[in-house]
Amino acid sequence: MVLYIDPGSGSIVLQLIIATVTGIIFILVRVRTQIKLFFHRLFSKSKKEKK
Amino acid sequence: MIHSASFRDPSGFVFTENNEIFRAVKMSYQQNYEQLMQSGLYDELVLKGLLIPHIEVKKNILPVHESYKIIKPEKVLFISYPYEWCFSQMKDAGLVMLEIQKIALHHGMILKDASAFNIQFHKGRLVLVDTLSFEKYNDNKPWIAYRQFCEHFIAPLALMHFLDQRLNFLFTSNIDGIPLELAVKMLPVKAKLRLGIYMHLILHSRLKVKYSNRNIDKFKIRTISKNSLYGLIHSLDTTIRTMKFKPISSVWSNYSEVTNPVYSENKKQIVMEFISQINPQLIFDIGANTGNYSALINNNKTAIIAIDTDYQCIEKFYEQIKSNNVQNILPLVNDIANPSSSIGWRNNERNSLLERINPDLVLMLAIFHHLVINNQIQLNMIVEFLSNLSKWIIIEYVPESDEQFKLMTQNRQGDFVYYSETCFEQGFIIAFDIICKRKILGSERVLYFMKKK
Repeated sequence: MVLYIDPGSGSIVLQLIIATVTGIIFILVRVRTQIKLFFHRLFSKSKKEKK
Repeated sequence: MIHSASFRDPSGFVFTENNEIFRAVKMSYQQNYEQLMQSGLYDELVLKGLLIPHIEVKKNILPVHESYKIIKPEKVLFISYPYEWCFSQMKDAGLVMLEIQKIALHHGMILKDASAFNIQFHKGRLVLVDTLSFEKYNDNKPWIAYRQFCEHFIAPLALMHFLDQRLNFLFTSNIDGIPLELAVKMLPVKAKLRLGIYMHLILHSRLKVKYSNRNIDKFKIRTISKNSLYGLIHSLDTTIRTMKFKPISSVWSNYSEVTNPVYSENKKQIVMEFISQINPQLIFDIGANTGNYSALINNNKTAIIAIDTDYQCIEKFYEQIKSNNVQNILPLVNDIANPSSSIGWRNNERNSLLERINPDLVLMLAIFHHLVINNQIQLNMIVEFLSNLSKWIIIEYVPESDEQFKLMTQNRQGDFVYYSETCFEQGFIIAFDIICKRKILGSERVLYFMKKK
């Protein structure tokens, strides 16, 4: 890989730390959104059926 | 001719020919270019107005073994630099860069470059102009441009948000972005308590020092999953979004609200009448304030570069343009008495304001007296400057009897004995023909419409 900017060793180390933590949060948020969406769909379906 | 700023990227370079811009793609970039074009990344970015569109052309410029393709990107009317942007322009540019990064990852690519100079205003939108900024994303590799992103966006935005908007001027002496340790030294304690700022600036700057000159390949853990990378982008995005423009009242940002409505309405009419006589393609509005007059010219045939020294004014102007989706006006922070200079290698990487602008018409409304009084620039110097700059000018003369003039000169009586309408006209007719002059209702001020001799 040709690098023409210096990524900086410290920046890589920090990125690994931050990305691991934020990556977990990111996944959790996504899972939460999907669960919310699932229930939302479920309830809107049952409402439609009632109608 | 190879562009003077295009020497860092090993993947290609920009060159001009007959006033047209081209980008040469080298053989070494072939695989990346193919992925950009074939993965759907290019199409999605162009469709969303995030990347400058280009066409492939046939030209011979490189030695055959090095050349892969020559592309012709759409021409950006005016190249502006981050040190000429107000807070919201800077913020939007950072968010656009992150949006591009997210889309690139979806298509198996990543930004290898996060320079703020690669983002430009084009048809009212912020676009990435460096088509060769992408490379194939290798699973589990970190983002090499992370530090650059922090130095080009997070650091200047934090300084502008927590301290003073004018601090993005530090870019002029730090062409590679504002050093993290410099930003950290200046930031107040309340900034350091913000998680995003703490991580991306403070911790970042500490680790930068701690690990300087260490070979990254020797670290045992050097992988980063794609989800983690999305997490990092999300964190940068949130850090930027939490920084907001804080309006403070400046002398000039409320100027248009305090002026006499009869005067400003009549001035608008006269300005429009003058402009309609020549239909210029590019107007340079010097001392635009919040854009009351340039905003009148809302047609896509006339482009306007509007400058003002006041950050609050440009911020107001930019927000207004954004909310009205105006495409032909670009407001920038700049001082005509001290315009952006040329910086970088051999003073030739980023050009000065005056090298970049070539207007058909200059608008100088209620600014001439400021140059004379505040900047002590003499009449003949202003005339010479304008005659070198533009064929047409619309200039407002503020007489000695004007309240504003009296206020500005109250402690300097006797300094402006040669300031009069007659002197003004005599000075200008050396280089210009006065096509029309009109007194503005509700004031003693006069608007001149002139053509270069």
